[in-house]
Amino acid sequence: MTPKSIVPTAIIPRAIVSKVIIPTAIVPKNRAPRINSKGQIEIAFNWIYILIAGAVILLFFVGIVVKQKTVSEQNLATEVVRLLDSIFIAASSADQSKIFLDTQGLKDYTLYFNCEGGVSEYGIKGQGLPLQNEIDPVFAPLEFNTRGLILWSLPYKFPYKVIDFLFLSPQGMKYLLLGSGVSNSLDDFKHNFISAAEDLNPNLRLEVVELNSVSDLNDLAVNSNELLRIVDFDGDIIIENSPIPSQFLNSEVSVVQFKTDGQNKAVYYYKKGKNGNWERLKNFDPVKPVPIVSLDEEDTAKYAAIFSGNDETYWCNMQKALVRLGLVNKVYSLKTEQIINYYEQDNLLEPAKIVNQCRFLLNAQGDQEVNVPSNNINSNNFNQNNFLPGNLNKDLGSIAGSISGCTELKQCADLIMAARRLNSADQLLPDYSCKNLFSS
Amino acid sequence: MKMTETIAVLFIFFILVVFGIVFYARYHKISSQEKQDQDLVQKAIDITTKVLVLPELECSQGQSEAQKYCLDLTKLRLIEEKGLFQQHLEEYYFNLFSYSTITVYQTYPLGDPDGWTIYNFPKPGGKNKEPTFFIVSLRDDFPKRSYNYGYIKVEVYS
Repeated sequence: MTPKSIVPTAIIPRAIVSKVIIPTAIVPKNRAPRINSKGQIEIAFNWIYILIAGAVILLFFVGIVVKQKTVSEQNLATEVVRLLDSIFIAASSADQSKIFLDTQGLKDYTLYFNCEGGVSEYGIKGQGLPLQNEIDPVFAPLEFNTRGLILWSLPYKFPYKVIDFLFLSPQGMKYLLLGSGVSNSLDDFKHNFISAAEDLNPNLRLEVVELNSVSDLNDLAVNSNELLRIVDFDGDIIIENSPIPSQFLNSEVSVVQFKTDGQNKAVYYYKKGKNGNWERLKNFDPVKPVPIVSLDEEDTAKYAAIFSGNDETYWCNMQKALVRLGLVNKVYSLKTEQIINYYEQDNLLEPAKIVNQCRFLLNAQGDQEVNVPSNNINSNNFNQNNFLPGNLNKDLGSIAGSISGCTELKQCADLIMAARRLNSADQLLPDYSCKNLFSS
Repeated sequence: MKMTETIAVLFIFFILVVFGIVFYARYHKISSQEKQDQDLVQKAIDITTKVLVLPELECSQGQSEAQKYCLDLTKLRLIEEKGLFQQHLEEYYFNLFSYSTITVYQTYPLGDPDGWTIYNFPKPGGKNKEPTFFIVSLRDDFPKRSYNYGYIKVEVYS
């Protein structure tokens, strides 16, 4: 009985089949040689086919796994950044608070913070999608790897609260405070900063080193790759293009310098130059310094300068605050109208004497001669005409008008003056039992 | 016979692959939906947190810290009346509140049942809505300073 061929013989030309020579010794007599040869080739082909198909299938799944791993990593990075954003929102909403964020799991990744054209961008370098934010000012170093982050929130008041600033400080970052600050009228600011940096919880304590002179700076021992921020309170200790002390060359060091010229306050930033000298950053403007828009008693804008990566990110985040200032200012302008209209009504609950007093105060203009209508009013308070509550609307208008021009020191000084006048005028009103805008 | 076997094996293999793909797609769809729901809740909480400390609404106290969870009724009324947030919606407040509706209701003494809607921008064609509530005190400076009670309702759309 002849075994049946697997391949139908009809499809193999007879001429080819007849030419196949098979040694008779290895072919059992009871088997047809033609069929056996075909089977062997077929088995070999099957194995090759199985191997190729298996490899292709394996490669397909390996490809999927690799791709999925990359996608998962990117998604995880995006998710982490979104989570950070939620934490930042919560942190900045808690007034005057410091929070420690454990970022142990991110220690091998570089976090970056940038701000250009009024839009902040932050994320994990080379991983996932960054997050963009046009509203919240976040002041942080440009790039860092860290096991922990200190989130510090402070309200920015001008003179009423405008927005909450969030400062980020990587754990282990050192702040080298240089100079007394006396020559720059920043002495109080320096001491306030030192006490604010202190905390009972070691995780929330900023590492602050007080240095009095350049020689202290030159003698300071520094570890390589250490994250350092030198703060020059005197404004003349760090000089552009002067050599950097050699021990700082292997560290991540940068400088923020405060300068005061009369009413004008400015900040300069320096980084390590290519030739080992201090190089001034001129991203904000090649010539003009970055103005500090701050009232003396509220130093939030100065604190922000200490935590900012560079001049550009500082001003970019400050711009967000100035945009918000314009909007909050509108609300207070409307409220001022409301207060003025209230005292213009008849049959008010308050005694007539107080109503007349408040009417007078709210309508008295700074440039008019003041006739004190009541014995309750201390005329000494009106020596400074500009501080009259009657100028509330005028001062609010000056603030609104000066915001857009505040890219230069002079215009920013006008804005600061208007805010100071408004603050003083508003503080006077409760002294005379009158309703005020924001002071109480 | 072998051909049939091979075809059968391949058929079962592809059935399994298709089954796997369908199973994964369903799982992915459900987990994406859950993620979206979670994100919506998180967004609602974030917006509520922002509203509670909004300088435009908060009860300021000069240089001192503002009164917590307190909204200034004068500012609230003015913002609603003048539509301040709606006026600056595109250039500013959309980035802050996204697709949402923010309404403040006064419960004691009982106020307007419609409340004060200070921001209203529902998502066109939005399917989901997540409301979040938070109790606040409402400071009224006119005619005399008094404190009322109410709640803030933030509805977020997706």
